Amino acid sequence: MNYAVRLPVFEGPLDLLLHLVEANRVDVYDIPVAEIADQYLQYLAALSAIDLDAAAEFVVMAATLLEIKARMLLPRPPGPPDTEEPDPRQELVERLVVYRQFKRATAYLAELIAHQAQCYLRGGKVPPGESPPGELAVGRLLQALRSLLKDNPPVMEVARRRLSVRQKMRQILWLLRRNPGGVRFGNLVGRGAAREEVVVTFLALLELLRQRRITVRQEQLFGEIFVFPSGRGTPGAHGCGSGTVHATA
Amino acid sequence: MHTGAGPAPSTLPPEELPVIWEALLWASPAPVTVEQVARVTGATPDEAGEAIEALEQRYRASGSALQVQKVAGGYQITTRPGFAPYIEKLLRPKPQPLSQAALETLAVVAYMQPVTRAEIESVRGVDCDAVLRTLVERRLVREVGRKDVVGRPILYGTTPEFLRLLGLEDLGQLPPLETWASYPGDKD
Repeated sequence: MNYAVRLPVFEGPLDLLLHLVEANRVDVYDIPVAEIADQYLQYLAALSAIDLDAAAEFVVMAATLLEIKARMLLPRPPGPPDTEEPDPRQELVERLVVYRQFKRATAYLAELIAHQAQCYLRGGKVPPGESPPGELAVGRLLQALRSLLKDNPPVMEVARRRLSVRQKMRQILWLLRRNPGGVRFGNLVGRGAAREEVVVTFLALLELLRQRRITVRQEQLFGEIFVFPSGRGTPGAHGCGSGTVHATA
Repeated sequence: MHTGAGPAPSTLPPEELPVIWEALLWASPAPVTVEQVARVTGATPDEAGEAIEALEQRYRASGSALQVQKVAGGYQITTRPGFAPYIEKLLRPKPQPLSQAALETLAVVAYMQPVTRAEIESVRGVDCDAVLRTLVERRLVREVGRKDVVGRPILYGTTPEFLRLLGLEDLGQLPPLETWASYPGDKD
């Protein structure tokens, strides 16, 4: 289907419910459940048309709303007036009130963060909370090697062609000249390459790193490792640029 | 010149303390505490505390672009907010801001800590596993222990990085949660 649906994004069923309560300007302690439930279901219908997974989280709340609606429609059992039943909305209201508190606290935190983001530390800030993975340690490369080896299990076949590290280095440099935008670490070795080739490629990479003829970057923790010709892999040149790493071996 | 272990005690002219503070704040990558300054100068913590106030005052009075901030139990020098637009033009773009889900979760952790994932989820009404992991990865939230109930679930709390992100001295500076219970416009 080729149509775009734009819906406000809600952080969850409580967020949506709070939005409806506020949009309708009704008292949170006296929610007209029938009305709000209808609006809630309308949103849910639109949501499930595009994203079933996200909708799942909202369905339980829909059921709760309908249950409350039903209970409020039921006639009260006759009896002494002082044994009044609790309001069926009570539990939900309590959750909403607590959620609303945190929602406002969240807005306040966001304000503080925005203000503090205006204050720069010396050298341009290392923004707190932005955990730079630091220099790409050899350990991280080893991890990548390990997963590559897993993807390329040993084949019962004797490789005729003996690959030298020097040869592989030349290959990598050639590949990088043709792809100055960087090459995925995983693409340096062909699928189904012999174990020997994986190891030789890895050694060639380490050697090139040591000679500072290439740089290696990783966009995010445990993300794909990219190999660049030296001098090209400037931070921010690729993708969103968050958590870029210059590797030195 | 005094040699050997540590600086000479009480030979330091008191007017030098603010300038020493300035040097330490400029050179240190992390916030500097009164205790640290007292230790490296031989001054008393009280003297160090007065000196940082003097430095703060000096920056304010001189119309400097810099300011002294007290965050996460220590002090740091930052630029004043008004200069951010220029700095942003000069430096690389800002890092990815936190998502609404992350902010909300952060608020719940900040106010309810130590808090379990289930407790956060019961407030927010949604699964918080992924967002909590992001916050731990960004070092704004950390594991602070285990709750003594069945399953011994992990307890989460905020970190000093959280305080630095918000520019707060300590958690006590956050307005109490009840502040957000009602707004003037509320009908309750």
